[in-house]
Amino acid sequence: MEKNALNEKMLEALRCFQNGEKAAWKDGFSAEDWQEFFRLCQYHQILPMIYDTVYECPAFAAFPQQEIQGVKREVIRQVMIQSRRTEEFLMLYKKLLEEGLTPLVVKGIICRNMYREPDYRCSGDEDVLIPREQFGKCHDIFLLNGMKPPAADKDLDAEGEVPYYKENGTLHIELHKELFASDSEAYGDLNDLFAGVFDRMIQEEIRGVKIWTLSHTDHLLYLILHAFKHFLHSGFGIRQVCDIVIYAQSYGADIDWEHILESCRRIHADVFAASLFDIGKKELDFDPEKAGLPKCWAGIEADSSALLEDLLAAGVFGDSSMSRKHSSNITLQAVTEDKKGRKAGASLIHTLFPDRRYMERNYTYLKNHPFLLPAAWVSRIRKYLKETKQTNGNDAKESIEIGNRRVDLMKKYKIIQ
Amino acid sequence: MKLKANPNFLLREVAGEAVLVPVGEAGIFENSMISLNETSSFLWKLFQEPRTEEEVIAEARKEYSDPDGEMEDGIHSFVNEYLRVGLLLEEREEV
Repeated sequence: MEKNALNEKMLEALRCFQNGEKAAWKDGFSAEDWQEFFRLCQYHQILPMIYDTVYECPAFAAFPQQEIQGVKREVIRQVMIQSRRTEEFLMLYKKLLEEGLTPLVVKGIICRNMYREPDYRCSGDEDVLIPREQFGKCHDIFLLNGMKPPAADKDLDAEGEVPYYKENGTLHIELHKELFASDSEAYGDLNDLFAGVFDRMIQEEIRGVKIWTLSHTDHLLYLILHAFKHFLHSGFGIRQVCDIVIYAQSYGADIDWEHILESCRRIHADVFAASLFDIGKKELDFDPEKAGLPKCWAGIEADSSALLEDLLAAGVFGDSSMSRKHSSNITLQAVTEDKKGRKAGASLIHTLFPDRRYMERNYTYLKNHPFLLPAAWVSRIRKYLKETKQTNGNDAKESIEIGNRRVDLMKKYKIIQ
Repeated sequence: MKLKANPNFLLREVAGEAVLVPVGEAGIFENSMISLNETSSFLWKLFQEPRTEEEVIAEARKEYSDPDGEMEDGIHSFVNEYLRVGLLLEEREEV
């Protein structure tokens, strides 16, 4: 089966899952098609949802039993791990509340709770936004409860986000002091759109635990801009679109749609956002009227076909291939140049030799020893060459081609000039 | 004596199978997957509320026929086994 046809089947199955239906495919799949189909679903982190929808259809008989058992085991494993993570998170979260903290949970469990089978919507971590003055206490509670940050050498007070992993457990929490990395030239300014979020926070009850989270308007805006951020990097997948349209439809009546549009306009993300809703309407049964989308949104010309093609190729966080991941050097540079009023263009030089601020993220010694930038470049190129040898779909030429294409895409969606 | 399902195990129905997912203090089942058949799944759901064995047998008789007269023994075996491995817990009544 052609890749486009498999993508269409995946979208059809996703629609079925959302509607509580089972796929009724009679035939049309070979064993290899099923393998590729489930691989696609895995890239988009929607395997449990899709498997649940398709495993009883007549066409599934073409998939050999041994293969079925392998996929089924993986589905069960993912759901089990998600169930455990959710419970572990809720138990830990209650301890934060007991100490009077107000950690805002974003994405993750909030989005998961909207799905008809929450644990089928898997995520690798939970994201929590904490007021800066509460970070220290939160950190102490995490440590007391077996959560540890991985890197002992970082100045946690200075970091914008700190990852924590449960010792001998499955839980991973990203503890944020800001929603977007403020040191990013491409999107650090998105934080301005969320000033005062703690004044507007709300609570939602999930499995008997009252969870602090963003207001519905803030949260939908965050979901859109989080996808936007990933789009500027190397892309995002269909699951993010699913989250956005389900959220919009669930809470549309509480959302300030004019504010969302105005915020998106400020950062040239309005056509992008409208295109997401267009994809939702065409592929995921999103009903703009039910969500309460006002006329100002309908007036935006949004040809979402190119965006859909990009996100289907991207995988859940745009990491379907190393070449694609590395193409983010080009796209982020294009956005940064555009903000400075310069023309965006692909550059092999910049791909191989990014500026110091970009390099500091993975080569932290540069913060104290900026003169070591050339050595860091050499180290990075060596690592890149090693990765090129080890994996398919990873070479500089392909990265630049993908980067070029995606820069054109950003121009098409009026993100850059 | 009333019995209750160990709250450190959650029932999830995934891909056509009922599985118990260990969460919290799961002891020897920490990294296990316990698959339940239809009958075990039914009994597990009943024990989400504290119930005596007799109460569970009565509920099971409403749901299933018992032509061979083996239902009571089967439930008794289930209760004994699950108590032995800690999947069922005695509900201590406050005096």
